[in-house]
Amino acid sequence: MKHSFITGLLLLCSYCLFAQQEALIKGKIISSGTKREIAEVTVNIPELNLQAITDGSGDFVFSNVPFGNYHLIATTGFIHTDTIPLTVNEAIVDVETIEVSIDDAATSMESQQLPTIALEESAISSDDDGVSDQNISGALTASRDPFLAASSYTFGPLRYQLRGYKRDQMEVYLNGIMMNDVESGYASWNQWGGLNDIFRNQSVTFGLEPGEAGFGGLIGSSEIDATAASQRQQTRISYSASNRTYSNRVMVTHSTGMMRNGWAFSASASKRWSDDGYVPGTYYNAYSYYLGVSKQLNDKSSIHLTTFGAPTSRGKAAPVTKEAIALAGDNYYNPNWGMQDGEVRNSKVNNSFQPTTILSYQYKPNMKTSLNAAFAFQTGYNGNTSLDWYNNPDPRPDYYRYLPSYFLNDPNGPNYEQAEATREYLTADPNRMQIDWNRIYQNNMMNQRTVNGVTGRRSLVILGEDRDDVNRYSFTTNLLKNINEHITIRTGVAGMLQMTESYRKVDDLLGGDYFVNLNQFAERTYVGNVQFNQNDLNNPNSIVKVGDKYSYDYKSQFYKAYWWGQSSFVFNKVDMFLTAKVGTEGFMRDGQFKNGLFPTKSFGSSETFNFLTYAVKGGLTYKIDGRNYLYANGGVMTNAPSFDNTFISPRTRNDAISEPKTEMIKTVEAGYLLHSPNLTGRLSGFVTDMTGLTDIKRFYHDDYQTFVNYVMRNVDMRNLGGELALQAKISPSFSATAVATWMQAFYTNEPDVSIYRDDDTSSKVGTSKVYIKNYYVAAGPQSAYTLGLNYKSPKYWYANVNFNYMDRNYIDINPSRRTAEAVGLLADGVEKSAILAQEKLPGIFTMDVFAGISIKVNKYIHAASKNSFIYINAGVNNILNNQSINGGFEQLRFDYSTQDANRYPNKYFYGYGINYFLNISYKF
Amino acid sequence: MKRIFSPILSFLLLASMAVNLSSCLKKDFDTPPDESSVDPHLKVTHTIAQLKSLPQTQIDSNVVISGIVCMDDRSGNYYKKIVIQDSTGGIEVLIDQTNLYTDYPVGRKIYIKCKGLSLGSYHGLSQLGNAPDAQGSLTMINGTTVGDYIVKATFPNKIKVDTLSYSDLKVPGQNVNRLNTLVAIRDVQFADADAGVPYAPPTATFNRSLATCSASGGIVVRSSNYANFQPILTPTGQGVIVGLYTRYDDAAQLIIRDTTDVRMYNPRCGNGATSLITIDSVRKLFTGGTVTLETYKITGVVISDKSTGNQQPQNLVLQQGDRGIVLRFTGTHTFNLGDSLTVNVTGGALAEYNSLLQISGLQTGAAFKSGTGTIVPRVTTIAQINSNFEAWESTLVKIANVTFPSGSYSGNKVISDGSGSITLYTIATATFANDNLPTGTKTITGITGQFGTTKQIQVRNLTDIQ
Repeated sequence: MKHSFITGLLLLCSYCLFAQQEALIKGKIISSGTKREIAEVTVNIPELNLQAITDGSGDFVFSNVPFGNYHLIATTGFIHTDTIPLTVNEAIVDVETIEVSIDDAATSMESQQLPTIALEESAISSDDDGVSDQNISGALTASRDPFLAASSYTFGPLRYQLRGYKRDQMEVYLNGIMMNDVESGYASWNQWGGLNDIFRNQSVTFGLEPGEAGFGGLIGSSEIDATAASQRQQTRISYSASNRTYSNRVMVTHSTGMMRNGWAFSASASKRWSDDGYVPGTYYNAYSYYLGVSKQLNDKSSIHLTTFGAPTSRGKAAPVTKEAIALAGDNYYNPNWGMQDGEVRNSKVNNSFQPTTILSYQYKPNMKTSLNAAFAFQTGYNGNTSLDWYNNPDPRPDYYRYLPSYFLNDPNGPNYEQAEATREYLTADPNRMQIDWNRIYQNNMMNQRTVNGVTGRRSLVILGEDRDDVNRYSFTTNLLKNINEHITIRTGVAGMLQMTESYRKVDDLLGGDYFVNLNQFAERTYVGNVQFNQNDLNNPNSIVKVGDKYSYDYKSQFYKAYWWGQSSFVFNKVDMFLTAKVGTEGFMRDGQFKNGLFPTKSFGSSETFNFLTYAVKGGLTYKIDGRNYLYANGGVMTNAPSFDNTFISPRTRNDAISEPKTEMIKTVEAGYLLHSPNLTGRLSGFVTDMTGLTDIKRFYHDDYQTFVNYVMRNVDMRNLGGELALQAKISPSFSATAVATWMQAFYTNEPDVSIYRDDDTSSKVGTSKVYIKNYYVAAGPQSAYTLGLNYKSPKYWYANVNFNYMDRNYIDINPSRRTAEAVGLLADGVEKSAILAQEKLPGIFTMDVFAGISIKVNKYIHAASKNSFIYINAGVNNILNNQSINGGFEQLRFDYSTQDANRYPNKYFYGYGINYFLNISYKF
Repeated sequence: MKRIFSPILSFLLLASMAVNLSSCLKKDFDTPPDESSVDPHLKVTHTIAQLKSLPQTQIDSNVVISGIVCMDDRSGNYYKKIVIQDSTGGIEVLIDQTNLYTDYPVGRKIYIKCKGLSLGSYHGLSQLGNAPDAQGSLTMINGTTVGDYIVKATFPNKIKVDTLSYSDLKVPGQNVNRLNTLVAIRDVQFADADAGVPYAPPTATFNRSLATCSASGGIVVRSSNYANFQPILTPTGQGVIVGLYTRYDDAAQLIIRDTTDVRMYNPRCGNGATSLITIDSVRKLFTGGTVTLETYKITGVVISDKSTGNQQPQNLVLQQGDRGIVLRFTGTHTFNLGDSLTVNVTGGALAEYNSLLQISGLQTGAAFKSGTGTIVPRVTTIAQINSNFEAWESTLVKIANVTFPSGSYSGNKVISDGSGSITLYTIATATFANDNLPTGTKTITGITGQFGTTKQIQVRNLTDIQ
């Protein structure tokens, strides 16, 4: 069936040929230095005003090229070009490989810009209220598509999410290995933060476009080649200054490139640090290292060993209410820190280190076949500290009971006098809105107690750390075969095994001698019961000190294995592809603590959950002529649910939702693309339906006076929208870009919700409905516009200015407010609307300015080599200093008795005001 | 040259970075100095007695008092208030904050700048707080701004506790300067109905009456159902109690901080003196039928084990020297194997239950644990037991070379040691009832007893068989 289909297409195309004498031009661009393919190279046929860009394999295609004699010009930088004569006299012309040399003098905004928070995990992270991380996808920075470049560099720092999809829809491959975490599905870019020089060889696909290393997600895929062999020979030292998450960065890289003896070495190290970041109290302290060795075994095969890691420690910020911001007098009020002995000490610190080692083997018997096999081992940890307390008042300075609003929202009537007295007290000394470390230490030191045979200072408040210790093993093998000029097959298998231990441990006793491993919430509910209050019945009332585990401890195991295959067809008039993936994955929990409330189902192994998943996508591109393309792609995919959305309360027990099911995604996208040297653009649209999702939110429920696991099942969502982008070359040096995107990401049904309480030993729970249909999913700004003007001087400098506007950014809702319990018995009116309405954040207008220059050192210091360059890049984002809220959520706590939505008001993140970077590199 | 130059240079740079960077590594945070010996020495303008006698409700002038915290909320007995006392008296301080004991534990000296605060009283008990509400009750000091009023001083400080007489304290109106201070009372016990019961029921705050040897009532111990000692049973003995002296109008109350304030280790005093007799003498009082005992008390060590269920939950066997007797209480008792008891058997019924002599009808409050003890079992043979049975009834014996039939422990099983045989009896619901009887010869320790004409031995637990 496939055979006749291809024959039919070939006949169609041969008919086209006879009719118009047009041809398909194919080729591959490789670097003369590394002899490896280069992605994102612009190839022009100036006589015909045609332009193509090379993909991840360095391949480019021109369609509908009339017979004749022309020139192919490959541009890697700005001025430097390589010109190849081109004669088109048959239906398919394969120019095979073209070697180009990289223009070191070229410097552009894309190649040099210091990553903003788009590429690094933001300093703001999850909150006690159980709202999940608001991290930003940091992908697609290598793409030349004006829409993709804008979405990462320009929109990214403003919390924009591509097409509203979550981060797990971006697949990231490193030397062939998929780096997405098996548990969460997210690729965490801070695993290789600070190694920008090495991780520059990136190619990306967007949306449902056929990928190169795997099936790809809804956002697309990013494939990075970080082997030593792919690094250009260079030594580079750079220094950067900024006022964002870190203030300084020093980076040193040395790569030998592939040497004549067949070896290549590459090493890089960097340090990023700041004592105090943009947000007060956020410090940054990170090192990174990279070591790569490659050996060309013979002219067909090579072997590569790559190892890298980035130990990072940073202080975090927190989302806060408008009242707290007003009391502190600072949009960037951070309640996580306080002064201790004259130094700023942040209670919420993230420590992570997940070094990775990849051994890969490449076999390329000819230009048409390529086999890549890789093994990877990753070990490490990710930890987040926070305060823990036992029978102590809440030590957080912005706890709602300490603020004036507590007195205004008193159920017995507002107490204006006390609200005013509180406001005066808190604004009299800025330290009163920060953590009082001294009080914590003094109270811990006074609390001399004897517990379980131990006498000493029993800490009332400690610093604990939630840790995930991860070991991951993966292997992958991919085959690429160009069957003929038209058909390319890619196929591969991959497998991974991940073992994680998740636990909480004592980080600092804060002046005390010991802490006791007890569940104080169970103690409040079941007074006097000495079983229920135990976190670990196997070690009741255990005395814990620094480094000891307490509260919870469980191991989890994940496995994933899949096969994928893709066939792509390139013809003169039509391109097509079909991709399929079939896989199996699963996980289980192995509790290490015997929880006193759930003694029979917390210690030991849970059942193992296995899921069968499949995915299919395909698409068609109709090439009207060499420049204008129309395309349509569609796909159906299933996803296994995540561990955290299957186990009801993994920290306390093995219970899981009944019959967890895979989620289903149906998606289509279509558009028009324009590729010409002077004008590039796109007009595209998409609709994606995601059905059958399970979402579990965990928070403290005021009515039940305990932590609850809010399980929503059968959640359905839809993302739809469109993008319009245009990049025009007004003159050889001057270009303008305009991008507009509009989308809607919203819930399309009313999910069922069951509430599992962490203090309830029974397992029967009722189900009710959540009325969230047509509420927006919080996915960053759902409208984004930018206008950019770029000037590239032939004297090797550039300047760029962007005007941006983001709007339709909606707050993350608390689903439990859209239930009968929350609004029941309330007539329509102000109070009811306050509970139900979804806040839209104000639109943000910003202006960015960038400039850079590259200096050939040899021009001024003749002793220097011809390859020495100094690059200086600088940029100022949000030069108008518009400090505006760019994210937020409704608190998951809600007062059901007063039904006052203002009791626990929304919490917000402010976007950075004016922020800058300056980057100086010396390359030789 | 350049080929070597670049790697050397980069290596040097990397190395220098590494050296430099290690010195930039964050060090651990220092512990702040201990402030518990710091006294800011504020000028005290009023004693607590003088404060309480101020005419106005709201204090407008610079009144500064000082005191030591004598009652906090650590146990949960009090909520959102503390009590301070100085040499002239004490006062409650109402603060809208939970877990006040962390900042103001018992023994901490504090100063209170009273300007802006208000005085009030609750059924005769003085309070310091914020302006009264519409109903006239004093409101609490704002928990966030409390630092404007209360200044922390030294910790810990000892409070001098005076021992007073029960009868004096019965009338709060006569002891106004003692209110909200710590007092101690000697020779006091919980009244009969309030001894051996939880300090408070789970649902409400409750008063437990105190008593002296001659009279009952007049002072109560009031405990909150939120106190962490709520389920603990009040002692059945007699002794000393320390507590905060308070009132509810004319009713005198004592509030304990926790159960270490209650030190009642002496035997209870009954209504009329009891005389101590031996178990041997008590047994000899039995002449048939039922004998109602006069004002006697006995002592002994518990040789039965309630935890394995091989005795009725209301019964125990008490042995003193080489004599023993079964005691049967009106409800389930809480005495364990090895407890040394003093039991007031006044009014108990001395009778035989299926030939086994016991004293029944005793209140659990009548038995008082004074410590622990050990009884050495009599090493003997079954033949000797059978011939001395009445004298050795309800005592601990040890027999060697015992052989057992097959089957489980439950019920009557005949065992023998060569000299004779006797029934080994195990209650069907005992924890080891369904275990198999041992094979081979063993040494067995058990309590002698009888049921009708059957002489029997009962073991306490499986370690009795070696």
